[in-house]
Amino acid sequence: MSQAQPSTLVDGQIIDALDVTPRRLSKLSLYWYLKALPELTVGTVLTIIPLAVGAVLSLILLIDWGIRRAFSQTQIEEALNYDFESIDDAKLQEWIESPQLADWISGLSIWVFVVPVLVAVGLIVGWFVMRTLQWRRIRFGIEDGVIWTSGGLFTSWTRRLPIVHVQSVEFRSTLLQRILTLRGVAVSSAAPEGKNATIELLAIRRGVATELANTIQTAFGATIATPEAEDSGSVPIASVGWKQLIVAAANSFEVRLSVFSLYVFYRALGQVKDLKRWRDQAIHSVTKYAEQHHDLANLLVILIGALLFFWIFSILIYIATFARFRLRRNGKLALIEHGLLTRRWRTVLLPRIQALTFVESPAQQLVNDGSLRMTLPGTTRDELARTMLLPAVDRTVTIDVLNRLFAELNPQTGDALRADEMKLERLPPSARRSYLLRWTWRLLPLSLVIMLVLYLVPGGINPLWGLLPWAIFGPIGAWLGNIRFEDAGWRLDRRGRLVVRERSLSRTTRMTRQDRLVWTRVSKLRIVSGRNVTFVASVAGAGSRPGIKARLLGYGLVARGDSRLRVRGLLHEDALALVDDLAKRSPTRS
Amino acid sequence: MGDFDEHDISRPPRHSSTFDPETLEGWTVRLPSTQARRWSALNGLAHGLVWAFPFVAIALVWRRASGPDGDQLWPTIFFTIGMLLLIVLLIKGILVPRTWWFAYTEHELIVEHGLIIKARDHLAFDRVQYLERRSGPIMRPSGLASLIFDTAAGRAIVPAAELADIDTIEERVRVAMLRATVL
Repeated sequence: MSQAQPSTLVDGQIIDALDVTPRRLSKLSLYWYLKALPELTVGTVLTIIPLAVGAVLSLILLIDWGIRRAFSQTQIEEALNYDFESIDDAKLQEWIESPQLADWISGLSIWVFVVPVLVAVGLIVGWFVMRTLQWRRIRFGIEDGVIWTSGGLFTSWTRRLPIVHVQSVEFRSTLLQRILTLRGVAVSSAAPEGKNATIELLAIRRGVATELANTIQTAFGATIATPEAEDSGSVPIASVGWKQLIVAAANSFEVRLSVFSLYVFYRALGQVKDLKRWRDQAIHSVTKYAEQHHDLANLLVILIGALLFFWIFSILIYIATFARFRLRRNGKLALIEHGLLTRRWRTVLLPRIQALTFVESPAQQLVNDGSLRMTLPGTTRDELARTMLLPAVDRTVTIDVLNRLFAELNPQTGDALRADEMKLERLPPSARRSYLLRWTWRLLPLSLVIMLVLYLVPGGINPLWGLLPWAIFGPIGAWLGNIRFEDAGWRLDRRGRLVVRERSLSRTTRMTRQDRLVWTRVSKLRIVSGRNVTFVASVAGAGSRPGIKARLLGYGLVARGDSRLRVRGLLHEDALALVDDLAKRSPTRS
Repeated sequence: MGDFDEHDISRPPRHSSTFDPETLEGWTVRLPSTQARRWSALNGLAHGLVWAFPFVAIALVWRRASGPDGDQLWPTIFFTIGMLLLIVLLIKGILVPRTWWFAYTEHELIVEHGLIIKARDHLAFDRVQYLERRSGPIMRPSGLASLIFDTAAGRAIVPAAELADIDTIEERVRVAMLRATVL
């Protein structure tokens, strides 16, 4: 495949001679290893659930068997039908205080109490010992141009990643790691396996990190981004100011992130004793308040307050992640550096970038800003930090940034963005209706369900209230749909660059070269016999393994997130012509 | 139209036959054969039986364990779920062959599929990274196999195809892969 041409990037002969002696992780890295719980994959969960169910079931069966062995059938029947009302409280109290019971308890073997405690302690200690032994077995090194890491206590594993297949290299260090002069290293490949496709060294000594970096630099033939690297070899492309960053962060409120920040905040408060008491008290008083005041308004106020709080908190996390952002270029490498407490130094091989995305959030649009992101094959889908090329950049500057970043590889990359301002192909007027009615169709089932529930549940509420969400969000959806329709556009120029603009909440302009496309799709809803279809093209990217929905609904290619270029509401003829055009320019067909 | 004026937009609009395989020229079009339809129905039946079995088994065991005057509701619900699964999967197996076809040339593949949302996937052979041929016990007697095209961005599946077609496609994918590495 054309995008995976290692020979243009690195010299094979040099690479074969590269070696770094096998080493263990830094001794201090045990802290980070124990902190990073083993990854809970679907496979593990699917194994644990039947095991747990089986354990509970066999316990029940065992108890049942014991009871049936110890007592006769009539005794069991009697016990099952026992009338609890007949228990006399005074008599029960007398029984509890009676010396016979105390005698019976003191007569019991001490092991009845010791064994469960021992088992529990043994399990916890055993887990720690196992993890420590596992951690101690981890080794890494470079051998004949292959970065490898191995480990495993009972089943040994080795992960080998040839340097020619490296997509990006990241050095990072948290505040604690900086104090201890340690570094974390992550080298990612193109496999869509998420974490498994990345060689991650949690903490190694600075000297070892430098040695690794030097070896990789020899392979790439250029300086990569490391904490120790000097700026002299590279060209500065852009940096991000504080004001721009805060505007960019305003849009960072996502449910996922806020839940995460809630957790981080909860944990952070738990570190200090007084704060922990305050935290528990606050949670208690909030729940108590909600118990005492049943009315909806108060709950809504609490909810909005909480949302506002976590919004601000997620903004802070965003700012801390992307603060002091610097982007530089060194030949075919992009060097990215960002972070306040955890600082990251990332090197991305520019030829490996599959697509570029310019995202303008509503807040950023007000100040004519946007953020620039890249699609790399094999990056984990949701990790924003890995796909960020520039978190905040002025719209007019973007073209210049892109032109300078890809000056040697693909000249005038940015100009595609400029041209899209002028001559983006617009959607046909017939597509407007489906954009306007999108939310109406989506809300209709919900409204019907609410109406049905209100009708069935006796309470005197008029079922017509079920139409309320539809009446409120329908017009808002139509208004949003109209904006989406106005913003949508696409263009394929003579150089084979495909630019697609689409808006969900933020406006995204995604562009790629035609020879990067892996597949295209034209689809339409069967029951509506209009001429408008949806066109989707996909570049190699992460998250492309079919999810549960795709598996349930049947076969087909799945494009998600950053790797998808989509135009909704295209005329059928135009879509097929576009597919044909894209196929015609395929290098292998010409 | 800027850069996009090469294609002829004056073609007559095709309202109903938007996804018509007959409009493809120079393509080898393959609609599901009789064997493929039979396989799909049998496959649906087999899947339905497998999925229905645990529910029906739970219902029967529950019914038996609770005795003649026991709870009737839950066994009935489980039994209904099992039967519904069986019926839905069987109907799916019968309907699905009406929804898909595939076509190929020297270089590319088109797979069209979908019951409610109709989609036409277009994939060049040089983008295939891994090709898998699968043939289950129901397929084998009728000389069929399914083809799985793994790419760097998801997989395309041809549910059932004749062995002759599969051999041709496999050869073409092999050639395309070789050319892609040389290029």
